Amino acid sequence: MLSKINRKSELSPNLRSFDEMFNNMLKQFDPFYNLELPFENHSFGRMELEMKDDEIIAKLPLPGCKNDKISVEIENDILTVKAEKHCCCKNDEVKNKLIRHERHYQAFEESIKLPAAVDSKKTTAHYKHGVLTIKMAKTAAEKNEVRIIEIN
Amino acid sequence: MNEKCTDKEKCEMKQSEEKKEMKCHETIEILPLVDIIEDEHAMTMYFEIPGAKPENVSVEVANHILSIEAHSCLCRKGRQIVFRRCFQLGTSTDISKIHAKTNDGVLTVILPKSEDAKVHKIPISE
Repeated sequence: MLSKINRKSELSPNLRSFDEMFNNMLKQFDPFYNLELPFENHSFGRMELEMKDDEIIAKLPLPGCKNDKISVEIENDILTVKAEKHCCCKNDEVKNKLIRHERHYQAFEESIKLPAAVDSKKTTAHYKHGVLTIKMAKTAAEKNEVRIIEIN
Repeated sequence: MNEKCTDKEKCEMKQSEEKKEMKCHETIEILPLVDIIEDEHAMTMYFEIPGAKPENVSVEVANHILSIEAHSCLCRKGRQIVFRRCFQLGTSTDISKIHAKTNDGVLTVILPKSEDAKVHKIPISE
């Protein structure tokens, strides 16, 4: 009923292997070379940090989670996020009907050291469209205040 | 080079502005992970599309090819993520009854089977 379309399959096998070899070679020279493979592509839990003058914003893609299954902790400038995914194929009856299963992971936990001290009391987190956004206010000492020093 | 510009500096300014705009609109195409479950009535597909609002998701069927496209608010390597994937549909799918919904960054597409593809039990009379 369904079959996967792979644009590379339009190439002949020889050309395809050459194409892959060429991509691998470029990747070695440039780590940012755009080589995208399906199973390297999963975005679950890949944290994106944005530094602003007065706050740090962390964004985590956590598709298929529920609010009550996500926990966010900050301890000594270490941010820890734990999440559990709602899995539709836990029971054996559904497992037998699976014809393709790529979303393997069910639980996620990650801790990172924050690049600046934050005020945990002023931290907010919200989850929408499968993305957890954590806004952490920097402590007063960390804010980039410009000081003008007079010259005598 | 833009011929209308007489001043060289102005031209360069315009070009750099155009480049900046181009950078903002750059996208990276990513294959969304999928789970497919098949039962006697339908085929259900669960795509992971974190950060995509329902209005930025499109599900199309043309020439028996199901195409999914979702623009996410997330970025990778400084480029906006676009989830894109295609599947070839067989003749057993009832294309007019396909429906889709998004919930918590997961796109669910339900492909009901056509009446011909369903198992019809024929009663046997004595």
